[in-house]
Amino acid sequence: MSGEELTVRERMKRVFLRQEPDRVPAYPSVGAGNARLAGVPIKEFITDPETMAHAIIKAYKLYTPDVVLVLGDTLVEAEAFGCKIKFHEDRLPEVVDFPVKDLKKDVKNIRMPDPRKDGRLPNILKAGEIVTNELRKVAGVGGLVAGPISLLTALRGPENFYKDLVQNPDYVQEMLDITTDFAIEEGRAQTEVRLGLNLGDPVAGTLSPKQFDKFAAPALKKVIKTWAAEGKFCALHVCGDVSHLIDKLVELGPAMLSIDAPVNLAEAKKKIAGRVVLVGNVDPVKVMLEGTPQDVKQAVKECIRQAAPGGMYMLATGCEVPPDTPLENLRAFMEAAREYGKYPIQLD
Amino acid sequence: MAERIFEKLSTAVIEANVDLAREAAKEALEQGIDAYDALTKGLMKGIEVVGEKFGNKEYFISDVLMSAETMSAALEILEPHLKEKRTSGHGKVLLGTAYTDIHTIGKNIVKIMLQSAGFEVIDIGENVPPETFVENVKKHKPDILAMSGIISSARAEMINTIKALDSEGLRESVKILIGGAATSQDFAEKIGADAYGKDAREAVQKAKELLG
Repeated sequence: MSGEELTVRERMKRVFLRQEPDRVPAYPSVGAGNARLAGVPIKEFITDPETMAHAIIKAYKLYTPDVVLVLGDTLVEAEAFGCKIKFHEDRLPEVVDFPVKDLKKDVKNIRMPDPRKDGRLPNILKAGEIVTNELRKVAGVGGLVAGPISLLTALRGPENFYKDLVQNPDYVQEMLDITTDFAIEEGRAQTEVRLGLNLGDPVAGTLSPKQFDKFAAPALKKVIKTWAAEGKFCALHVCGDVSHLIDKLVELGPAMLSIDAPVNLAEAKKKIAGRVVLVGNVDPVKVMLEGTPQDVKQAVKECIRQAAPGGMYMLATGCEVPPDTPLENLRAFMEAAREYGKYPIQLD
Repeated sequence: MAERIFEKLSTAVIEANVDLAREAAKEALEQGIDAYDALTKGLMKGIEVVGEKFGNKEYFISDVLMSAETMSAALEILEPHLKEKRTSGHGKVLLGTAYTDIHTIGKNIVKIMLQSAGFEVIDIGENVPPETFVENVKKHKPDILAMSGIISSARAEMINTIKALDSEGLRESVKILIGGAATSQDFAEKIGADAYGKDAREAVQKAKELLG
């Protein structure tokens, strides 16, 4: 890392002050990919906090991103709510059974888990503590809080969830109240170990505008505003093509809006009009996994061209990269960010 | 006369009106209309409009799901008559959605279309890891392995599945057909699949060609 660079903290400070910093802050979203980079099996990575922490730290040194994520699999919250998870030795786990099968009988058994005690939730906090202690002077360290809407699909299964929105809206609201309060508490627990807050709700982006207004917006707003009132600021990430939802997402009040590859970055920056920091959006699969280092650099250059001038922007991948993403692509990402991202931006 | 009923079936699917769909399906049978025509000229036309509306962000996942269920409701009535028409021996298809991907609607429509066209379809569900595809290829010895992928992470898993078949010496034993929003003709060529179907109709056409 160049000696003339600002620290990440200084750089981000300037971004939030609406200034152009020394260069665009940048990081690819890497979760279980850190296990591969560190040479540990995924199962160990996601079940043992010390393994997770040390793998993240080891991986960080290989390509020095501005931010690392303390993230293994996205089923930690679902598991704590009662999903049966199947683990594989060196691959991400999957859900094999959902807790709410009979709406009449099973709903009353659903209770909000304790993010500091239940299931593997405390692992994230433990790993987070180790990683922030080690890296916080050189990198931002973020966690992931499961969005309240997405967590609902973990209770009944995705197909039932989409039917429930139409056929059982009262049940949906009842469960949503629980997953909303849980997200708030999970965020609080993560900030206690100094993890940056990322609220990720992929399913929210698949709702119709009416469903979004009725269910998603109030829930997400409650989480974001409750945190903000406690001085906790967050990045909101909704996967997929949310071009039609940009204004609604901004109005929920996050400090940063992280968008996925299908969204046109230049148009998003325009629509946002400086209200929040825009984050994104190199394609995590088609470019980061399937592309060459040259492809990666091209994609980074294009994102910077579209969104960096004027600041209020952070370069990232549109979503988490697959675990098999090659190290050379992660390196190319950061090299390109450092090469093309210097302010003032001067790209042909 | 038939046109009116096809219209009714199609409208029922677009509007997710289950009662209308069932009524139209019964009417079709009463009128002696070919069940396969009722499927392809009525229900499928409706589902295709639904697909367009989904692409235009007019319809969202709940809407597509409700329309697919409406189509299934009509099919329950038409099914026995579809079975009669089916000639045997068009081929055996092993079908599943790739690992990390839990989408099923498109895959299920492909299944219906393939079955109605005379294929035997073994549907092993969604989120299917590469080794499970391989296991099932060994067990069922299908003519075609059809993989569906809607989210982009499925792409990597399709590549992994083909690799897994290769390393077990099974790649040549089966034709590979892929489809779904995460895929494309280019992608199929890039990964060494045998064919790509851009929708359920094309899936049937390509399946027939692969066995041709």
